[in-house]
Amino acid sequence: MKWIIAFCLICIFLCVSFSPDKAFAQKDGSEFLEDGNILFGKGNYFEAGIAFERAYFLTSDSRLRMEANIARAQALKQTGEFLKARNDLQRTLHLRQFPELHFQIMYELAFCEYMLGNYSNAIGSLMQLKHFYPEDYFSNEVLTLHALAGVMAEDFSLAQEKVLELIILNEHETEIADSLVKRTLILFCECSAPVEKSERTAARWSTFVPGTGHLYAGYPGKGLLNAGSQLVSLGLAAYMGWNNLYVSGFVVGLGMFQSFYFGGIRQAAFLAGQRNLKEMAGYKEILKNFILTLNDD
Amino acid sequence: MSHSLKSILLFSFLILLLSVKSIAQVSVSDELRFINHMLGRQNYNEALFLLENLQTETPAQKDSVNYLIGWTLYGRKELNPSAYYLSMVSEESAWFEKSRFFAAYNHAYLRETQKSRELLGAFNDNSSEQIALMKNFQFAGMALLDREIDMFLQHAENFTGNFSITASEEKKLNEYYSRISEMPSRSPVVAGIMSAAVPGLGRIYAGKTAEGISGFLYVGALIATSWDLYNRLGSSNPFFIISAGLSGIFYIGNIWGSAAAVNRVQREFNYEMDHRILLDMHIPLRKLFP
Repeated sequence: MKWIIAFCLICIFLCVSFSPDKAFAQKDGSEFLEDGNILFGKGNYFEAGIAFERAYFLTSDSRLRMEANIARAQALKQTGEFLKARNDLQRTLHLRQFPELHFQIMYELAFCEYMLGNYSNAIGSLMQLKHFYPEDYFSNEVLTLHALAGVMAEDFSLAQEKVLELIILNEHETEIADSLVKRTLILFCECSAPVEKSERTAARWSTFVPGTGHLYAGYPGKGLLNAGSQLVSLGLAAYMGWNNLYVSGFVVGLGMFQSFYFGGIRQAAFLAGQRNLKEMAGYKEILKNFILTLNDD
Repeated sequence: MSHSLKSILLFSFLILLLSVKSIAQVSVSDELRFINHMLGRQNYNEALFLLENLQTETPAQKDSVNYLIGWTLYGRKELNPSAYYLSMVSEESAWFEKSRFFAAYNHAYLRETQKSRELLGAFNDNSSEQIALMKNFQFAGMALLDREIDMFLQHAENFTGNFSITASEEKKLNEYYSRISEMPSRSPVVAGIMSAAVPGLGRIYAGKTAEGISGFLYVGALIATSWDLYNRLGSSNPFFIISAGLSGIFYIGNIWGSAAAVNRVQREFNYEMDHRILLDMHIPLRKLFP
């Protein structure tokens, strides 16, 4: 009897010490998916991402693969790895036998493209999504993303169209809906967009009348300073020439003048470009805030 | 207890031990397969995390882990630790040759060619012909990196031109050898003296013609201004003193800049050559060990 007990104890000891409990060997894809969900819930996104990838790697079931891939993309999104998330999502983009998962993959793909700054790709993905799933497309999150991508790609008419669709979808009371439509039409109107300053025009103004290019770009103070510097350097050259210091006048006065003159032309063009970027960024921010507020409502 | 029962128990115990052990081994190899998959998708951070947490049981598994860690670090461009892990892979491993060559390459990239040579010394005369040819090629590349021309020529003698993996790169190494040996050696002192005689001439001598002309123009303009101020206002005039001071500073700066230009041109040339040599050392390695 004591031999049998000893044998059992040895077996228990071996099973405990050699048991490959390292999250592999015995588990299958669905269990790893569950593990990943638990880790994700606890905020361990890095390890959750690995668990989801294990689930993807171990299973040959298409549905599970798609679920694992979507879950992994969510984990990667949490750690800001949108490029990796996009590349991983593309692996299951061809699997279309489960429409609800395929829809989600396409949406996540568009979202990652948006976050990566590839706005035209995001719009392309959303157009495909609309083509494949015309009914599911009309949802708050998809339309919001489409409108935001339109704003960032500077396709304001597309963004306006999506915002109007969003207002219709939300079925507001007539009064609120009217006021939102009115605001949308005003905000997204071409007349509300900042007028672009031409860099070439700014440079041309500064070529013929120093400082005016800066004024055109919206920086009168800098224009005044540049014109003043040119006047002072020219005055210095003239003063030195008046005192028979021809060589010094040429080198010092004209040397400084040409530097301020050509530098002024370049600076005017640069400032015009900067102003355009700043104003466009501000306008986009207003539109984005409006879209997001609309979604909150 | 009868003798036969004891035997049965002992036999069962052994069977159990073996089966449990083999399950553990299979699971480690499964994990290694998964890590390989992660590496294939360039998930280096995740692969490294898994490798660091993997408990190995056999020397072969340890070799695989060392190889994978080294390879992951190589992918992350962390060459020093990568070389360390790759050089830990034992001769028994199937990854030995690849690991050794890449560890040596990592050291060569870090300009630690002595360590590279020591690592490649592990391949003795019994190595296959491919390995011997590759070893010779890598030694030739290292000799060029160290600008040891005689040593390069010794290794270049063994270039066959028939080994498809290195054939085109052998030609390139010979071309680099010609460029290195034909590169004129210029003296910073001569460049300085030339710029003292004619501002900017030293830079032209160093191979920077545009810089030389520009230097001549600005130093010349400052000297002309000082001369003008001296003639009109006299030597005690503060404008002349300021102008002469500036001219002196720029004149000396131009001499210093000309001497430095010689070293800069040499550095630029060395940098370009080193990168080309390293690239051509790397290409055959990737061909031989895809």
